[in-house]
Amino acid sequence: MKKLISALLIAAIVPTFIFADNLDSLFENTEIMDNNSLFSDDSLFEGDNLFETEVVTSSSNINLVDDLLTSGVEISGSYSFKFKTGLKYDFDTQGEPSYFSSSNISTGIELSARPTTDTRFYAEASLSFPFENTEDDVTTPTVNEEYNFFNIDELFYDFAIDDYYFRVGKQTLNMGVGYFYSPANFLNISSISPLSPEDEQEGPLAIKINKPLGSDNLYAYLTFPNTSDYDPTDVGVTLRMEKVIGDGEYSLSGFYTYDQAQSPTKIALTASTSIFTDVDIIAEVVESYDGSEFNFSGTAGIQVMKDIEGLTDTSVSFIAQYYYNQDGVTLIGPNSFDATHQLGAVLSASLPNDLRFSLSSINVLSESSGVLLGNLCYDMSDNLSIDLGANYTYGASNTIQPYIGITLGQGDF
Amino acid sequence: MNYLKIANRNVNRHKKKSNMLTFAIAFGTMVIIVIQSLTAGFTVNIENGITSSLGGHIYINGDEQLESGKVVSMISDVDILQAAIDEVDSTLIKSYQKRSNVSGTVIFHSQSTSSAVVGIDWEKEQTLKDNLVLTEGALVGIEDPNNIILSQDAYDDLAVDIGDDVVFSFQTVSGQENVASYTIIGVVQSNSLIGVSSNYVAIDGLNEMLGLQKGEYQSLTIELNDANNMVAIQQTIETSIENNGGILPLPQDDEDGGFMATRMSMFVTEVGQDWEGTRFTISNLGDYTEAVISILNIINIIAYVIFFIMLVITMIGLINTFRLIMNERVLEIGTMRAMGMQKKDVKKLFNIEGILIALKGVPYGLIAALVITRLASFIPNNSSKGALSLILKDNHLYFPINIGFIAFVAVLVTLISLFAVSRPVNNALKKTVADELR
Amino acid sequence: MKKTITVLALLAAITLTTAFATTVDEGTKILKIIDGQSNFEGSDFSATLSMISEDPEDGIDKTVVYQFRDDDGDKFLMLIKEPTINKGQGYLKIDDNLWFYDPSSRKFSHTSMKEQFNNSDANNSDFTSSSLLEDYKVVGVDEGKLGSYEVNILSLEALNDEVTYPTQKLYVAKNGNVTLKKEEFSKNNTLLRSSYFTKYQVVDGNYMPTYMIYQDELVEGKKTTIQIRNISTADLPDSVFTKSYIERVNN
Repeated sequence: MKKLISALLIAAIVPTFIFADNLDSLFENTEIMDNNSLFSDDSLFEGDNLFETEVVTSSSNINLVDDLLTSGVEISGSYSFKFKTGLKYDFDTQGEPSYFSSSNISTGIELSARPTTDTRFYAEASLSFPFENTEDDVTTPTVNEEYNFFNIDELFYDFAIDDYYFRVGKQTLNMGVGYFYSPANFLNISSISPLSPEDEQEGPLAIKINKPLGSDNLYAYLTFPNTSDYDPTDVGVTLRMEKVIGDGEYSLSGFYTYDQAQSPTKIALTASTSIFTDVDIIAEVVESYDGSEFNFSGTAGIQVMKDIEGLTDTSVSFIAQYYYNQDGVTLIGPNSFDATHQLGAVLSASLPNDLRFSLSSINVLSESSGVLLGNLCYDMSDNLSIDLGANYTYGASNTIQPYIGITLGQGDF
Repeated sequence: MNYLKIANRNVNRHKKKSNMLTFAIAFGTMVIIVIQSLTAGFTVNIENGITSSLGGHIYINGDEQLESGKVVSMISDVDILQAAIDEVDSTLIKSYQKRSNVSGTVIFHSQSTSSAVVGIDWEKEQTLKDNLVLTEGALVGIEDPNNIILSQDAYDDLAVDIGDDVVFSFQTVSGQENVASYTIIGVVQSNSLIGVSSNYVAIDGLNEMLGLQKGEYQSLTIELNDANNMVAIQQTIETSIENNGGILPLPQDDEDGGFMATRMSMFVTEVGQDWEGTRFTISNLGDYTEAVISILNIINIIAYVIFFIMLVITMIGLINTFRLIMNERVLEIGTMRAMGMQKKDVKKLFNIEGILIALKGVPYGLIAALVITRLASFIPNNSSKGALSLILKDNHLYFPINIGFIAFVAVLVTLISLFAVSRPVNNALKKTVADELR
Repeated sequence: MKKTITVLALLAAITLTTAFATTVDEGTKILKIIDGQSNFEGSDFSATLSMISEDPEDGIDKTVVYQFRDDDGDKFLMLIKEPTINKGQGYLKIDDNLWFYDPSSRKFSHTSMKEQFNNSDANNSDFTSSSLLEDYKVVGVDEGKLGSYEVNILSLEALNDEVTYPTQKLYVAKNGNVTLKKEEFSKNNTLLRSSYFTKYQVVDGNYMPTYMIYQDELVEGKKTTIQIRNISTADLPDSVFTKSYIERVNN
């Protein structure tokens, strides 16, 4: 009996040892860094709240789609204070360099109110307060009282009827794909400024109707003159179709208003497609007719954006765009300005250590004039950045302006 | 009539305007030369960097296909490869090195940095041992699989000291996570090849960590006495491998070339070919530089676009300024014509003035370019890593002087000057003498 | 007598082995339950994802996005709520087409994602599905306690050397058979990462973790916390995956 019990005990113990040994060998050299953990395992699992009380099914009442459309009233915006100072040297006069400086505070305020999921009221205004300095005098700023420092940028109302989405009011209408130049963006009141191509354009008073068709879209626009008193024949009608074909997106638009002399009829084609990874091509052509003659304008460009592998926080982008406007000659007083052929290019890079670099060239080729802008920006913190740069203008005037600028308190809320 | 003397006197008489033109020409010349020299320096440094980083001229990698179809980087048919190397005339080969290498993360407490570890057979690679320049520590004990020679980049990033233990986190050849602990015994100058600096350990220990058997490795690099033989020797090795029952990749499209075939062994993916044993992929230095040079070509294209824009701007600036000058000198032109000078004489005179101004401006531009490039090349970049170190020479920018290109730019800028002069002169000469004198 | 002792010892060994095997079998069953719990194929999916990354070198980054997926239709929409500098930006993907929306300029940029997405399998299963049973075998089961929860501690060994983590340890709550903690080890048994799943929600009859902490055990102080809220598997209307929806949702 004793031997039987011993045999049983051995039989019981041996597998246990083997089992334990397996476990031990599995976790040899294990380093569980309890001393360095910011929390203990047990503290995470105290209580009895492992499972959420709510159960999710396909018929659950959580509806993020609608929740995002009924977020109540939101107020947001942005602000910044910028100061810039530098020298200006005129090659034509070859006089002594003059100093210049400028500063401004700018704030954008946005208000968005959604009474229902299908409706939304939106208003956007910008306020800016510039100071103007006289030469050589940076210590006694004066307010430019003539400057229009308050501007309503957008004011519109969104609503939907079935699958048709309406936006009514003053709104930015972007139909083009160009970066520096966009002749197909003819509905906006202001054009893209090649010197600040990423700024928002001022849009007209309009009714926009959008009918999505999968990845394609149909648009209809009614645009109204920017005055309170106008002829019904001044209202413009635009129809636009956006279509995805292969790797590209293409659009065809047509604009008509009764008074063609004031607002010529237009047909526009845009294309945006990728030719290689990170390389996109854009093009726009617009043909307009003012009742007596045709005018053609077009643009084509290339855009390359690349993250540099092996270098953290480094990316480079290059954009170049050519613009042709058949009717590019405008009269400014007794003089004419020929902007028939234009070329814009920018090489910019986001570098490690919070550095940003850009080199832009905006040229009015037909006027033999333009500007070269180089800028290096260092983001010292979220609220402070320093710019070093120089602008060289040539053509009507030949000047160079090296500068240093500081941006303080820039942010969004 | 001594046109040259008159032209020279005219240039000196209108000093202000002439100086402005000279400045514009000098500036344009300087920018063009600096940009071209910079990209040329990149090209030269990349070629040299690849040669020294890869340690040879011919590179042999191996792929093996696991049962699941996954392809992993390793060479287990070592006998086939050795037999192929033995068939090459030994006088042509300077040395060859068997290596394993893996990329991962080196960690020291809360600091981490991306890095690669290269396994070296220290007994066989005496050349490397002799040529390794340590900035700290010594090679004593390098055969110990627990020791590491850290790259300067990693050493600086982790803020470690000789004798510290670091952890290296990586994946085995089959993609499993693994971790190795090493003691730092030395620090070597960084030699990164785009993105990741290399650290050195004993190959046997690394192979075990990677899941390789004893005697296996991942790559073999051959250094030749004469790089011109590399294509022929590569073909000899490939033929021998095939004759001995070894496997080579399926023929590639010409466009892909040897570079893509080599790089395929870096990716653990299906490749459309089933095989057993080691599939050898052989490439040479030319394949690598070709791929990198193609990337540089893109940089060159952008540089030439900028170059073209600068030329256009210079030309437009010159035309503009000459137009202003012509407007001011209409009376002078009228006087000359009234005194009997023909239109072609006037044109000749102004053309010579244009050439003189260009000949003044181009040397200034050259001097400015030389000064700027020399100054820039003195600025050290001691924290260079990744792609930046590949384009630098000894941590400095390198600006080779290309006499031919400088001469080309000088001629081009002079021609542009001539063109810039001719248009306003022609316009000015369209007027009658009476109009010019009015 | 000798023969009797031998037979009895063998019987005892077999009994204990059987008991051992039962424990491993149970562990295998638990693993199967875990795999089955996280299968969401075929459903539309929408949720709010918050991710806080803490890195001793890079500091703390917080990202909040709204995510909508229609895998059957190969559609995906992501709207960024935080960080503030990216607020309002949106990514809309339909088949191989990707649009990026910039609310400050109100512009859509289009690009083709054919090369990037050719070999990817971007769908729910990326972060919700589990296939532990395919890759691992249970080599041991222990009992233990994690906080106030009784757990089975499953020791897993990879079935082949192609699985990323050769060994894992799962702490599975006895109530509900959900994983509370997971430890992932390297080939030489160094602890690489500890994952904590401190909150679960029942989604379409399965348990889905809604609060996860991933702690890097090699780099001190490095961890990522992910919270998933507002989960829904209700069918998403096609109107969600349109430019119009992005414009209406944004400012």
